[in-house]
Amino acid sequence: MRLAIDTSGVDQALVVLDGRRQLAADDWVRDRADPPVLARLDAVVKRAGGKPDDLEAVVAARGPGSFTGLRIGLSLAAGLAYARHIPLYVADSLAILARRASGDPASVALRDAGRREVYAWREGEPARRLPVDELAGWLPATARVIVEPAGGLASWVPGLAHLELPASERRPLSTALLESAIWTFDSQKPLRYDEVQALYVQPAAAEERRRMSP
Amino acid sequence: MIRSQDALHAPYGGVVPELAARAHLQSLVPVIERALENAGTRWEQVDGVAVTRGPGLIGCLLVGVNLGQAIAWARKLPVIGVSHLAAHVFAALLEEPDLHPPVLGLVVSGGHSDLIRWHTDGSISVIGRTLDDAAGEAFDKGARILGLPFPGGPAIDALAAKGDPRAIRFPRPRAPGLDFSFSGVKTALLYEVRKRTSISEQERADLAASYQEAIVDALLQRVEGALFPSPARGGGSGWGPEPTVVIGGGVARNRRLREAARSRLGNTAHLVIPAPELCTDNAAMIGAAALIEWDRRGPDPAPFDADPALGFA
Ligand SMILES: [Zn+2]
Repeated sequence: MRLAIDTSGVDQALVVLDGRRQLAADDWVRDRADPPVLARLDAVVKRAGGKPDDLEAVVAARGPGSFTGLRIGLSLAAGLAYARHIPLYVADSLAILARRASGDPASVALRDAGRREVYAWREGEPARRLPVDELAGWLPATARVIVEPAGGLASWVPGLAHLELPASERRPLSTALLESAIWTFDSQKPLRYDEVQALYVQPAAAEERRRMSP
Repeated sequence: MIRSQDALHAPYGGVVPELAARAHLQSLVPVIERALENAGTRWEQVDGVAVTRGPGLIGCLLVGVNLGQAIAWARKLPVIGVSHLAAHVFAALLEEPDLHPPVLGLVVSGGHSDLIRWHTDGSISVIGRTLDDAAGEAFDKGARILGLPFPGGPAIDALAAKGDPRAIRFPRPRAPGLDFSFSGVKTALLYEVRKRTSISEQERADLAASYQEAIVDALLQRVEGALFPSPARGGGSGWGPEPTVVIGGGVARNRRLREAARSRLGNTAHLVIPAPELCTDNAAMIGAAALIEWDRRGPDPAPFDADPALGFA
C-alpha cells in the first residue's frame, strides 16, 4: 500500500494505492473548520482496507502553495515514512495541478500566491513566482493553462482568459495526484528526511531579508 | 536531545518565523532519531508520543503536531498534545518527581511572563501576565540598546556579572495587581544610553547589571505579591504553610534571577528552579507535562490541530 498527499492548495486530496491501482481517495476543499488531515488519512486508509503496517511508500506535494497546507502534508509524510522506515518522495505541486487537465497535462499551471503574485510553472522548467503584471509577457501564446483558483486568469490577464481550460475539462485533484504519484514512485529518487523542504513559501519580504542578510 | 536555532537567527537579532519553520521540517526527524539512539531505545519500546500543541509559531507547531501524530498513527501509539507553557512549570517534576499542587508558577521566556496557580484539581489558572513585553523580550531589547548580540538574556547576564546593579536605579513597573510591565524600564535604559555621548565598558556593564536588577526585582515582587497577599496588591492565599514556587522558562536561566529568588523566597517557600538546561525549551519538559496530563485526562482520543494561541491547558 502506498500513499499520496497533496495539501498544498485550495483543493486537497489523499490517494491510497496498491501498486498502480487506486484503492481509495478523498478530495476536499480547504476549510479552516475541517477536521485535521490525519483524521481524513485514517479514514481513507480504512476505506482502502489497509492499516498503518501495510504502508510501503509515501509521496507528498512539496509546493509551491499554502504555507500551512504544505507544512501539514510534508510533516505527515515525513512522520509516516520515518515511523515505518519506508521511502519518502515529494512531487511538485504545479506539475500535479497540470495533470488535472483532461487528456494531456496542461502545459502551464498557475496558482494564486496572494499579493498580486502567482506561482507559475511550464513544462520542463522549475516553478517560479511572478507578479501578476508580468504574466502576459511570460505566458506562451498557445499554452493550455490550468489555474487555481479556476477562472483566475480572467481576473489577472483578461485578454488571455481564453487560454485557461474551462472547469468542465478539469479532473478531480485525486486523479492527477494518482498519476503523479505513480510517475514519482517509478522514476524519482526517495529523499532523506533532512532534505524535506517546502518550495517557494516565504512571503517576498522574508525572501528579500534572506538575500540581504550577512 | 536539543537542537538550538539560535545561531540560525542570530544575524537577524531575533527569531524569524519562516526560517524557524523551515529548519523544523528538516531537522525534526534527525533529532528524534538521535534522541532514540542516545537513549538506546527502539520504536518497539516506545509506549506513546507527546507533542506540543501550542502556544508558539504556527509554522513550527504545524510541523511538530503533524509529524508527531503521524508517527503515533503509523506505529499505533497513543498520543497526547500538551501546552508548552504548562510544560515549563511541569519541568520541575524532572527534578522533584513528588512535586504536587498547589504550586505558584512563574513562567518567564521570550514570549511570556506569566504567574500561574496550578490547582489541586490539576487545572492551571493565570493570575498575572505581562501588559506589554515578556521578560525575555525586555532582555533582548535591552541587549540591542546596549549593543549586545542576540539572544539578549545570556549576553546581559554575562556582562552584568562585571557591573554594579545599584549603579542606576531604573523604575520598577507600575502595573496593577500581579501583572507585569517592562516597557517603562526599557525606555529608561534607552534614555540612559542616549544621554551619554560615549559609554565605557564599565558603564555598559553597570547599565546591564542595573537593568537586569530592575527586571528581576519586578518579577520577584509579583511572586511575593501572590504568595503573601496584601490589601494593596491582591494576591491569593491557601498555599499552605510552605508554599511551593516553581520558576521556569528560558529567562529562569538568568543567574541573578536564580540567586535573588533563592535569597528572597528560599526561607518562606519551597522553591524549585529547574537546572538551566531544563528551563530552556526542551522536550524533556514536554514529557513531564505528558505524564501529568496523561494521569489527569488520558491520551487525546482523536487527531488534533496545532493551536498557536493555546494557554496553559
Ligand atoms: Zn518556552
